[in-house]
Amino acid sequence: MTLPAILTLLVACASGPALALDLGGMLQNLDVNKVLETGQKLSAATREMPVNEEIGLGRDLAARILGTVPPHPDPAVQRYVNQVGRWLTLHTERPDLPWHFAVAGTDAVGAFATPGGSVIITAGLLRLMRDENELAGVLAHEISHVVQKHHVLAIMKRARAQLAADVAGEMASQYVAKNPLVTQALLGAGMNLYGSGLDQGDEYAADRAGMVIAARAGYDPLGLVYLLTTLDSIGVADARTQLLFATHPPTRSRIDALSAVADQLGAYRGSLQNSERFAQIQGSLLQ
Amino acid sequence: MRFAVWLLGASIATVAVAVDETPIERGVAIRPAVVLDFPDRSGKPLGTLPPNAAVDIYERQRLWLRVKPTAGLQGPAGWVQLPDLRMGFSAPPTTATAPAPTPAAGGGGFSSFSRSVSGLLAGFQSRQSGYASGSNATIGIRGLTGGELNASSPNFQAFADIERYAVMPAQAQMFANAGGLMPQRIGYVTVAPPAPPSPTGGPR
Repeated sequence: MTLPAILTLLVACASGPALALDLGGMLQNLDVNKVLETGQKLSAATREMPVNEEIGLGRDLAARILGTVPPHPDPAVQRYVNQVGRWLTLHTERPDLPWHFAVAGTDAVGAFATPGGSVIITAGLLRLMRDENELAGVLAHEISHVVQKHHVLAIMKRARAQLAADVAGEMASQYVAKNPLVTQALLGAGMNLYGSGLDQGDEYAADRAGMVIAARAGYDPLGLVYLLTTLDSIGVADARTQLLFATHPPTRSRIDALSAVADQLGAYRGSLQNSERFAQIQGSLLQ
Repeated sequence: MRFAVWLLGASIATVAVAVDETPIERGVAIRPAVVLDFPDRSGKPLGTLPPNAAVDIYERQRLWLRVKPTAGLQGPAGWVQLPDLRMGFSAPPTTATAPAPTPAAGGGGFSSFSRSVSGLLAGFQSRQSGYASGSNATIGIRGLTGGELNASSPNFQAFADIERYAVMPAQAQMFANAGGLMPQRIGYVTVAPPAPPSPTGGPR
């Protein structure tokens, strides 16, 4: 019996009337309870995640990110970014998620999206922007990750691999007393993901989709491109960009890819007329 | 030939930029950048900026930048494509007095045209100001690491705090109206799949 077949059997066993199955001698040397428990975990992590669970997972992950980089204390900054972000979400396929946005009070340059509609950008990144179009570009990129469920899918893939490894270990009668719940497996996979990054294809896809979402909302679709030129000028040697550059495709490649996409969007340049409100917010960050 | 292109560019260098204009930003060519007289691929070539050539940027039109060699340097002025430059440097105080190199010097052509990028970085102020000085509201000038994130403990109070700032769609609409933001109907952009391998084959 191949390992996939064994795993399939275990999942079926976990999700059905397990005790009615006769596994014969195959499980003679195994801790049946552990196998069943692990099979249940695998089953739970394999099915598609309901929206309410996606939201719950995202909140837990956002709380952990904020445990490292707490929110900036200025309410005006938080309120402003929420207004820009929420407006953008109204031009996506998932406008009804409980979207909220936060500015983390750190000089590090970065942005995070968690499943279910939480987006966190750093004050360090906000300081580098020229205008609201660039802010919209970053937020739209992060929103695209949520809309396309990039993190959910990647986390579940990683969690499945971990849980399958647990089952394989059990089959070899070498099961270690490491028996996390599915939720813990998902959280662990999630935080690991924020340190290692999504698939580069997901990042390019979020760049492209974000450009369109920003344009739909009336912003200059090139806002993200302009900000990327600034990030490119900072370079990889700056410690503040360490995580950003480690988890994203080369900035120059992103600029080139987006420049090619821009041709397909025509000459639209956005309709933003109020530049003062961004300047005020950015000014308050520098105080 | 290269020298001839340089001469052509130098002769038209002052056409595109008025004398008293103030640059909005600075940039550096990251690869040979063709300078055109119009922000479109149909524009007439005026010359080519070599890699590391420093320029002042005066205007931005979508993916085109109107540039002129940084004060004291020579070369073509006109429009270059944004991806050909590294930008993000603040507008300079225009105190540069570097002597204009001759085309034949330093290996000829544009090889001596470039200014050290480090000189530009020294003027990297503006949005980066306050970066160095930091802020009481931030946790220090350093980066984040994946290890820190992995080791973090959840801060549910902080999460509850930020949830208070969430806005309703109607509020977002009012915010958009105040900014003059006009919604557009735009479809997602499709990306052409990679070209299939040539049937004639290539090096294996």
